[in-house]
Amino acid sequence: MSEAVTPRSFSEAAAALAAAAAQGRPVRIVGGATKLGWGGAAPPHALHLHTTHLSRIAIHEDGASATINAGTPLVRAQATFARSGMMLAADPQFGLGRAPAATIGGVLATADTGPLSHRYGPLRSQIRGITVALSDGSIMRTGPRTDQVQDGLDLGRLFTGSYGTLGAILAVDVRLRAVPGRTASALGTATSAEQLRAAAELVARAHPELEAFDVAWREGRGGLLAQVAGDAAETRARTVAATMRAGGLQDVAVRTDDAGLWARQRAGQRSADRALLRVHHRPGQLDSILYAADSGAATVVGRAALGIAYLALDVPQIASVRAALPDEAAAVALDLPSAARGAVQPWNVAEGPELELMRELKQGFDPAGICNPGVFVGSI
Amino acid sequence: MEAGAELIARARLICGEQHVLTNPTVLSTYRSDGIRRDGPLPRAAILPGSASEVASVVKACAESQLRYVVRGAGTSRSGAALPNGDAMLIVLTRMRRVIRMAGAELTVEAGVPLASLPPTPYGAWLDPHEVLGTVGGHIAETGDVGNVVALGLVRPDGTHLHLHSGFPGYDIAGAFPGSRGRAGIAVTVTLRAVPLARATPESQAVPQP
Repeated sequence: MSEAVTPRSFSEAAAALAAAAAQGRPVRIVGGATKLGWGGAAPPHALHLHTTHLSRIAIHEDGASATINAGTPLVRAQATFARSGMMLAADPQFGLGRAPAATIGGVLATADTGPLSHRYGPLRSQIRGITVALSDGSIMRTGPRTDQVQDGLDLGRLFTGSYGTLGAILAVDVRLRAVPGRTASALGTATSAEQLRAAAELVARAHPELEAFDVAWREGRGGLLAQVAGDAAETRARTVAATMRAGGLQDVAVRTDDAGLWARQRAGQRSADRALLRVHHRPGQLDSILYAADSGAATVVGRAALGIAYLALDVPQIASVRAALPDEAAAVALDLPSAARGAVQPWNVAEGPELELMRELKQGFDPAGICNPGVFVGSI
Repeated sequence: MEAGAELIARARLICGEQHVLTNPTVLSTYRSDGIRRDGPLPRAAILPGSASEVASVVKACAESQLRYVVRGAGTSRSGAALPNGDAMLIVLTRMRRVIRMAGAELTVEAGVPLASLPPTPYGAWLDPHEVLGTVGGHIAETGDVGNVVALGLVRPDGTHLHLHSGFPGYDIAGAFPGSRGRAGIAVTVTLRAVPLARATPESQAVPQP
């Protein structure tokens, strides 16, 4: 059983990291524990630093930004923002099973988001500032509510997707967006990967105002799903549907009760019993990704215009599907059945100057090497 | 040979004789930025024509331990485009090729003027109100740019890296905007078009056939 600390303040968290660094003891930073299987395995004797008690939400006076402490469940933050008609444009699956436990710190550390990224951009685009604790016991703050002048890489964006390997995220300053009032979605199906790719390009080009634009695919057939928002959502969705028909999609329909459709897309980004690969690719390579998925009997959901696909597949198929992906695509294994952890390399990144730069960054932020060691690319 | 003179000779071999400027009259154009017109005169202005030439010049500067300042169109209001002391100036305005435009992604060399970005049906590449300056300069100076998806980056030792946002590892390309040259020189930039603002009820009216 690992030893654990649950700091109640930022200074306690920083002190816990400094104490661990003094002993050379690795630290595993834990939020809602919904993604602990992502990335490489931390050393078994690591001290677990739980952010659970760093849970606070403060909406700023402008009503358009907020500070969220790292241990706050994202679902609670969204409920708070929704009372003022606002939202954080981050919509990952909140966890496996029924417990919506994912915290803002964990979501940020893994850069996990969902269909809304089509309109609002990646998670890093929602960040205005960040507060982090480093392994030397210091606390760094950046953002518009501090007097820190940025000069160098943006700290908030660098910590987004860093898997806790640079330090512990304590709080994040985010921009809020108005919750779209009415929404409607157009959907259509295809039985050919090329046809789906061509239709996706046509829809993305004709409708730059979409809220979300996704693909779903399984065993040689699938479809596109496009959401629009605003008072005239249904009318707009019908024009999107017309574009889908012009693109050769079949079974084209418009739905105004679309919440369930998008919940299914988000659910496809996690897998409790199969492996889950997240693939980044050129948007024009969507058909190649779908072929690679079919070769390993993988189920796909993804962002049709962003070049992000989530492939759920059986563990023995991972190597062949990775090999079938286009050269320029990059695949990370996220969820893995517990029996496969350790046997599957999650990152698959080649040595090179890019990895050297990342090691330099790690060394600069965490010279003691105690923050989530071994979890990230290149055994960082 | 003195280090500065030796670097100028090396830069001429790398970039071509005519792309390394040392004549004080010609150099005086590089004393100005978005605010000042009377900044210090640089020792030389070196105008590389490609990413690999930038990498070679930076490597030569590193080996000679000579300071340099990187500049686009010189429209910065932060002072970042002006040399200090007798620093060399690396000017990226010859690097103005559009490398690739595929769907909602555009890859350009850093010296492409903002006003020359090709139109896109997918939204906007960068803030459409910003029309002065180059893509590289705008990104280096503006922290609020969130749609950089890949970067060609020349580091202070002259290493040329290719960084993709979203690929495994730290999101260095995403964290680069606003770094003001501290993280290296962006030599190529890939942008993803930012969708248009949500249509207003008036603009949602669908033309009748």
